[in-house]
Amino acid sequence: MNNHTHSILIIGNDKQAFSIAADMLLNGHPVEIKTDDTEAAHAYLRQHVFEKANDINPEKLTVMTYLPQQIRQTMLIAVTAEDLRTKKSLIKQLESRISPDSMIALNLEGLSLQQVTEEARYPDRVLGLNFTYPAHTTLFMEIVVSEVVKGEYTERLQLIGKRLWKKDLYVVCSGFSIRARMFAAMVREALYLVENGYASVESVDRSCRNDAGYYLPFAGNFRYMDLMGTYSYGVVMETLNTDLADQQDVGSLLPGLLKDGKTGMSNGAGFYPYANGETEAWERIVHEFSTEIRKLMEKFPITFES
Amino acid sequence: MREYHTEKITIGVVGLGLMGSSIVVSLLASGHQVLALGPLPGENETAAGHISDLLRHAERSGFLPRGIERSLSLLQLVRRYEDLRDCKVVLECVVEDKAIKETVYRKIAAVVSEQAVIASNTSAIPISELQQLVPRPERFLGVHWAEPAYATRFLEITCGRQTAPETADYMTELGERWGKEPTLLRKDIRGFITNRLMYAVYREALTLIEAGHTTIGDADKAFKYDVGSWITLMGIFRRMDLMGLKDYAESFRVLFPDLSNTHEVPAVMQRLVELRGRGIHNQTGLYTYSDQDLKVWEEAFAQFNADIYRLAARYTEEELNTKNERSLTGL
Repeated sequence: MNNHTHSILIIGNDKQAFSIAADMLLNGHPVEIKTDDTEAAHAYLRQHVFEKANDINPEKLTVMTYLPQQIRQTMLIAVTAEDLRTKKSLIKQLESRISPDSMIALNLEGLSLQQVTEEARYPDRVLGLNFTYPAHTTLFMEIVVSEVVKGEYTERLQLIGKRLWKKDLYVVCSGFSIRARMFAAMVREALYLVENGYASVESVDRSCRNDAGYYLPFAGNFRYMDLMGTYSYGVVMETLNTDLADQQDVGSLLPGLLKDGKTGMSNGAGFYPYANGETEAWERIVHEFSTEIRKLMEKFPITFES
Repeated sequence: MREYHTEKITIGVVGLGLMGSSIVVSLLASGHQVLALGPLPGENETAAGHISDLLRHAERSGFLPRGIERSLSLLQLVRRYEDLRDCKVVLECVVEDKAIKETVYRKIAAVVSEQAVIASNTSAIPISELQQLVPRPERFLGVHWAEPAYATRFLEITCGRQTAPETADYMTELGERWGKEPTLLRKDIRGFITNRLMYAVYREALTLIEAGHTTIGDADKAFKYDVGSWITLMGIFRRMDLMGLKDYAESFRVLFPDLSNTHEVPAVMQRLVELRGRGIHNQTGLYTYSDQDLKVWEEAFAQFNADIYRLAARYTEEELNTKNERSLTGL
């Protein structure tokens, strides 16, 4: 099967979906993207695909606001908001339009595969699929499956992810995202420090950038321990593990921001304020940096083995 | 009144091991007069050679604006604590031994002014504990560096229970003049900011691994390729702003109650503590290593370090502000 000529259908309304579309286009796939924001989709793909790679035929991209009655693609990638009803209803919508050998791959953060496929007719072909924004410049790919998922779909996605999309991917078989949980643990600790007056948001971010930022692109957490001298981390855990944050709720800072309409860069404010033009500047810097750090990561393939 | 001009501030550094020497070079690079004291026999002599090497490295890497000659002229290696009397700040960088540190603090405090700041680079002993050994404890705090001190932006300032806020503010201000991006831990807590964040991740990952949901290698892929792809550029709060807070808040609402809260040391780590496993250094770690691996990893890491310092230097807060202005004005 000549996978890279196969069209992929992407469903999503935000830049995460657009960056996945960019990734697929740059990997040679024809892409159809179903989105509510066609203007933003076109703008993103123009900026990050067609203006950067002149050998990609713009006709390979179709942007639409509706889902076709018959979906011809066998690989569907969806990015939705973190909402169970939204995910469930999308799966329902897709299932009535796709062929029997098609797979539905959608983003999963806090929700589990079991939850989102509770009402699915064919849960054996629904997988979790997570990328890191911007998807076309990063190597991250997390496939989430459960024992219900048919092995051939997992294998198909693994194969194409590794061979064509060049991701150093991994598969989680327990039906939930481990990336989401590890990140949640980090944020929970950070929120604890900030909400209890130990450190400011700025201090936390500086610590991240100037400590972890100098080794994480080279080595994940456990490889780094082995580089630094593993057992000393165990010694620290003896006392530190008894002291780490353990709050069960999201606290007051985050909900407070949302209540004030501060939902992040796209809205002019989040944890930080954003003046006119700053969001666009950040997007540009993020894409620029992502390309550079990827080059640096690829310089050290020794670390790709696990 | 506090002095902020580095040229007018004499700083003492006590303890001239690898870290102390590196810190000396960072201070020289920032224009300070530095009085460096190695308490151990022969320490000054060894340090002199090492500091020279580091100055050369700093100059080659573009971290020594005044050049080697001028920077060296700002340095004095001293043998007696009395020679530190004019220091406005003294940084203690001796071994992680409370008794030894206590002696050092006593000797420093006996000669410097009452307003002089005394700081420790300790990463093992709680600041509040050390603070109790220092005369006039309100002027004592932790100032923690990363290696090499003259090339990294990292600086964590930790307040002990008795540290005066004004002392912390002063050191934060100085830290910025040293070209650092200082972080401040305002109240006494176990661990540093970065430690606590990463150990929270370790705890969760190891819990998932122990339960068979993932492996050491996959957990590393998860963090390296996700967080590792942006954390040099932006911290977690900035990243969440970029991606949008609504979905994060919702996912945290679901996930926080599910995260590991264990107080135990995971079995795999406990075993390595018992074996004194130092990873690549004695081929006993979380991964397996062959005889050749140590050299390969060390060389790769050294090369990566050189590269990441260069890359990170182009994306410092200062650089980002410049880039932002440029795009706002359309230049």
